[in-house]
Amino acid sequence: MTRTLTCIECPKGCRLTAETDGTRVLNVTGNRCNLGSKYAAQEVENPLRVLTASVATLGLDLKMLPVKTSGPIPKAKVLEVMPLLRQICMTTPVKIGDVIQADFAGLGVNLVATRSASHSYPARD
Amino acid sequence: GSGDIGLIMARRLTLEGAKVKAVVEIQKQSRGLMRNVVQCLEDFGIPLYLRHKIAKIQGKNRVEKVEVAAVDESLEEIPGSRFELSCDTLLVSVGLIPENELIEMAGAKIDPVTNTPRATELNHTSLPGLFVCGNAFKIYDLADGVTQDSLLAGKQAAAYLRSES
Repeated sequence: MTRTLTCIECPKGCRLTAETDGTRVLNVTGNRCNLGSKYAAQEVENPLRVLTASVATLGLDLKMLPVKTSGPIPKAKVLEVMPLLRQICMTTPVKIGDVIQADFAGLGVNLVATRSASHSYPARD
Repeated sequence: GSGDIGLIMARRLTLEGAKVKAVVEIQKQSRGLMRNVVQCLEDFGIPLYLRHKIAKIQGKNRVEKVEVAAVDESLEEIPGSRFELSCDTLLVSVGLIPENELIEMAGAKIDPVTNTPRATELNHTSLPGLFVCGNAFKIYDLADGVTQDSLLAGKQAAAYLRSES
């Protein structure tokens, strides 16, 4: 059987056609680069998404700290893990790339900061 | 509106716990990236009503429902096509305009329709030596356009300085 899907790896959004046997992808056409064929296979077999969001802060120069998962997680888990993010409150400075939570939600990826934030008032000596 | 900002906000609101009932787009297709239609609407089962508009907003102290209507090629409402969606929030995402209050205060001539500077050459303003680039010059869909535009504007500013000296 065939399935058409739109690649999300870059803004081009190539229209992909994947031939599948029901569970596994046999061939992909329509992609203009290798990312497309990999995406189609993954999307048919086990769709993943990188989660991007923001978490609360206290005492920092950013009201919300933007974060992302260091790698994609199962698409079905995305809405499920959002309440975990709402429990986080950053109170210490972070640098872009810092791990906020290792093995976030037990999904084997880290939650990392995508911006740096320092104290909103100068640190006392 | 189903431009990139509207699409991304639909996803953001859904992730933060809101129930997004629909995205309503007056044109026959979304102007946003296809990847955003996938990641923001299809991923969450949010319906996209193309060739539709919000005809009326109902509510007393808060939005209570909206009336959605289909439109034809001239964007005129098709009679009898209205349906209701109960909701408590309406997000209006219908295009960006450049924020050019600073150059307006400096005395540059501004086109009142587009809010962009009026000049005889690209990236120039009516004030010699004052240049604009990126979204202040023209709204771009992608950061790539902003970067390219800014490189060109920089070259023009440098050429102006050379001609001045």
